[in-house]
Amino acid sequence: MKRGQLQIQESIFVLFVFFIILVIGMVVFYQMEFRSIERMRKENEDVTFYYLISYVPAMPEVVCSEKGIVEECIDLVKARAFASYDNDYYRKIFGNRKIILNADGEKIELYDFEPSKYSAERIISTPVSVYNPRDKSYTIGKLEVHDYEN
Amino acid sequence: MNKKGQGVQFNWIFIVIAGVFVLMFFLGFLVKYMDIQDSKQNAQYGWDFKNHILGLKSTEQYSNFSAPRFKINYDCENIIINGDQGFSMPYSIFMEEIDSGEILFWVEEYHKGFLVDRVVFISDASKKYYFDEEYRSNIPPNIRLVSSASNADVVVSSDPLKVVDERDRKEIFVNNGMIEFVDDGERFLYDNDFFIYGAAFSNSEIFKCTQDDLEERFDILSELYISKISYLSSSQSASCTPLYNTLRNALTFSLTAAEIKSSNDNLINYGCEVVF
Repeated sequence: MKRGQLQIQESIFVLFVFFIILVIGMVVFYQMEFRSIERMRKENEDVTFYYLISYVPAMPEVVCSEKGIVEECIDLVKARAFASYDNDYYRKIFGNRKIILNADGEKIELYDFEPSKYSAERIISTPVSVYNPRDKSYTIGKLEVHDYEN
Repeated sequence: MNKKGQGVQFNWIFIVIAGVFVLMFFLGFLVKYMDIQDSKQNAQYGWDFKNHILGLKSTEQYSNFSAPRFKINYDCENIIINGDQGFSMPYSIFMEEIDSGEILFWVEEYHKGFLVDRVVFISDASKKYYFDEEYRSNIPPNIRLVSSASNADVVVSSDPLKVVDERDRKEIFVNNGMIEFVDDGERFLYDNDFFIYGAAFSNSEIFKCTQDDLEERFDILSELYISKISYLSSSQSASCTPLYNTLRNALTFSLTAAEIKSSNDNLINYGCEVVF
């Protein structure tokens, strides 16, 4: 083979290796980028998850009210009625989560959409004031929000 | 041309072709990188926006949201940031397309005899609104109100002389229990001034779907209250039963807000537990 041809083949080989390294570098870079996007998504989902603990007790479906004026407590009878209400309407709000109210020794599943498969479960809870309209009494309950990660 | 000259020429062609490939590769990478960065930023705005709304919905309030200028569209189910990222927004919202960095939020309770939902009104904070005097009292201070319809970007009035279909502003004509979007001629019945504000903040399409969403929520809550009535009427004195039946009928047949409210308020006058 002539010297000139050898030089060209050498240059092509160098360029080939250069492109291979470049492609590997890009793949690694994009993977890092996608990981950072995934991390960002998780961080923001966490914020949504933590906001739910203050949103749920204020929902018209469970919040106490008297003559149309909202009070800072959960109405036990409304909570029971809401728990037995099966409606897809709330699926778009709560997604793959479970919301439980523990009050008066009773465990009320306000919402339950536990996926068949999940990688982790996180729970946050908060004490809530629970009003029982039957005997007009107030007790301390616990509201739990369960979050399922895929 | 001698062989040496041909070799030199070939080397140059080779270098130019290889150089163009390397340059295209880097340019492609740069464009893709910028796309990813834009998508990341849009996603962050979307999440911030969504979480901001969820954070506000627990109580009546107003606030402003600042970010570099960006475009938000809402199609009744999702918000779309800069035409790129879509985020599901399963809440009742009145808004239309916004292209701004300063956005205002206003959360107002919608009652139809009882609290149905806290609805979020969203708008460009620089927009100037004109409302007739009778509709001005409820408006929070972060909304720019103007006293003359001619200076406003949005005019809401019962006076036909103030809504004359001027192209550079949005006009809402309120008349005889009817809201009309002057721009497209769409008309809607309303039974609460709340919807007048909704019309000012949205277009006819968003207005309709938010109104429908609130109607669906009202039906769900009515069912929950009917369950509560069944429970209460069995645990309260027999004299309360007819009053609970009246309220049950008001909810079942979706009577007016005033009738639902008075049936509920009447319970307390007879020593019965109110339902809401």
